[in-house]
Amino acid sequence: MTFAPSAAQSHSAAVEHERSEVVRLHARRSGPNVGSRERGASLLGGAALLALGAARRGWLGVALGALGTALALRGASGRCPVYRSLGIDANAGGGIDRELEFARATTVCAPHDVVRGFFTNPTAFAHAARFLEIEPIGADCWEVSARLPGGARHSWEIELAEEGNRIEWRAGAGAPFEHVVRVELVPAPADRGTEVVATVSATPPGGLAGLALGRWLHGVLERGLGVQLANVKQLIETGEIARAEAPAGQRSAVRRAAGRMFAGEEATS
Amino acid sequence: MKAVCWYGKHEVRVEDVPDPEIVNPRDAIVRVTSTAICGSDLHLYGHFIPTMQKGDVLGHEFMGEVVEVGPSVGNLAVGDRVVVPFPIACGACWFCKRQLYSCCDNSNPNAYMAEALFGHSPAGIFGYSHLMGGYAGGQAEYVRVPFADVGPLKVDGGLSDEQVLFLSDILPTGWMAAEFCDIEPGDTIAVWGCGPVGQFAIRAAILMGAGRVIAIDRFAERLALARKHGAEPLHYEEVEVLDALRDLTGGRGPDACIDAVGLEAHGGMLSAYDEVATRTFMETDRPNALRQAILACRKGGTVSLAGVYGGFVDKLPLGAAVNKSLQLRMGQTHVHRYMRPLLERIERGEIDATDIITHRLPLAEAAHAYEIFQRKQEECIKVVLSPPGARGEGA
Repeated sequence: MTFAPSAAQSHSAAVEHERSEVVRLHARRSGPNVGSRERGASLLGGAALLALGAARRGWLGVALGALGTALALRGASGRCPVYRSLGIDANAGGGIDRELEFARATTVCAPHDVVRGFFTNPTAFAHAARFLEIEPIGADCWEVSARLPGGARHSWEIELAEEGNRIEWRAGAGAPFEHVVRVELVPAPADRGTEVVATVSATPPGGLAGLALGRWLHGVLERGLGVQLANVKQLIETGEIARAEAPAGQRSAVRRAAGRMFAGEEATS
Repeated sequence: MKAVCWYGKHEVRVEDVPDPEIVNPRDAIVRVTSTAICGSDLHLYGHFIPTMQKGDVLGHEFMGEVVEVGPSVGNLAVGDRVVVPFPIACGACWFCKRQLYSCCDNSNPNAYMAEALFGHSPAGIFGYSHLMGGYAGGQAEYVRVPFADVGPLKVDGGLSDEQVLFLSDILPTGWMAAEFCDIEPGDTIAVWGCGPVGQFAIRAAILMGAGRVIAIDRFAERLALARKHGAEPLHYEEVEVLDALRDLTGGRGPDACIDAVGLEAHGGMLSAYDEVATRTFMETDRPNALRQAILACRKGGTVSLAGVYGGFVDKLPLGAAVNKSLQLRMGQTHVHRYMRPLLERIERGEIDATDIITHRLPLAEAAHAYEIFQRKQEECIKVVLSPPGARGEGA
């Protein structure tokens, strides 16, 4: 499928959009998420608990002091890790945001059309993410097959869409959960190539528990996306993906599995 | 094959490990004929560099004969004699195209580790921790060389291994350190550390036109070698270095200062502090030489870092650097950039790199070699190891 033709978007507008999206994502990840009145209450309550804890002795005093410190810090910074894990942003209405979103950026030292050609050909992308096999099954429609730990496989369909500088891969039938991979491409300054910002938006399964787990794994997922982007960059720039040979130390089974999963590393060590 | 494997602080073993294989199309396999222990290998030996794993093969200074090439390597053939630069560089990324080879974007498979520590990942390095790629090193009978169409320098003819081996690291490293100083005729250069990199920095500075080079160390044999090549030795346990440098330069201070020591410096007013701070994880590196270099350097001068730093330092006099308008230049060496011009200087007889070698040992004695090099015993300055069957001579 394709989007309806958009109004002509100037290059500078595309760059501005890309950068404002990056700032929005980072603010969503680490910006203040506690409302101003609640911050004040948290600060005052924390100070009171801290004073109460200081006036008492023993473990109760320590516990009250620790709780008071945490509440005071929450009030002072406006950031609440519990809210973050549940996707609550009191500054944005206070409802639970059930969407998990993470992004990474890289610069590929290649012209825009070369990079675009790579990202609009999911089969080529599968060379970068070796735990995936991707085969075309129709116009702009592909079947993705993921290799899971233990030798199992899971397959689902994706649809490719393009609009201006944006390429989207949207999960379709058979997907374990709803997700979209969005790639924005803009020329990098001078002769540096093409800036690529990849964003994954997903609605994790399992309700609030799944959401909390997804947010807890946010850093790991983001790093995994970064590794895939690095693989794409390496394939385009050098024609191969850098790998250490075996044996490179006595690597643990967990590291070997993670290496195979994220870097497409063969089971060599 | 036999290889030198890391097993923890002050423990290396020569073990049988599987032979390397071609993994990627641009790989080559090199049969190592000569390999050296670098001063920076001692940082691994002393366990200053994180992410080492037991069994890792050490070594990033090596040369040998190509025995196998991948299908995309068009410039090398089986039988070619090559010196291999220690940073692994793809030759295609933005950094490689600007000859910033040690900043290569594509050669560190574990870039995410380096990004967590450094913000961005430098190039992968042979045998230098998983942080730097987890590649097996060249203190072995054979080594896999990634991006072999970019790095290895073919060496023909009658030059011996010992004449060209150090093109892999320490000779370009000393050269780049001196080049950072933008030496003008008559300049005075002070060099902290008269180990192999310091020795080559001294010789490079003189070749670049320095009027005087002042060499600072505490080992007589190293100071004697520096003097032989034109430097004025300064024993830092016998003089107050900052006072001596000030008075030896008419109160101005050296025009440029080279720190060829790095993270395991000794001496100086804060050495006791550094011992405590490193043991309590307040800092990871001991920057005594760097502190002195900043304080000694003349106003508007340059401080050039050739020594390796791996993590965090404390009590660095950045205020002095700012208020004296100093220029600080540093980096892992972009070895590829310097190999061919330095080879030409060796061929012309302008540089003889062999006289820093104090020990020639078989690979099987690597554990002993590391020990004497680390303890500076037997007047050890540089160890060259020969794998079994290696001739170590030119074709």
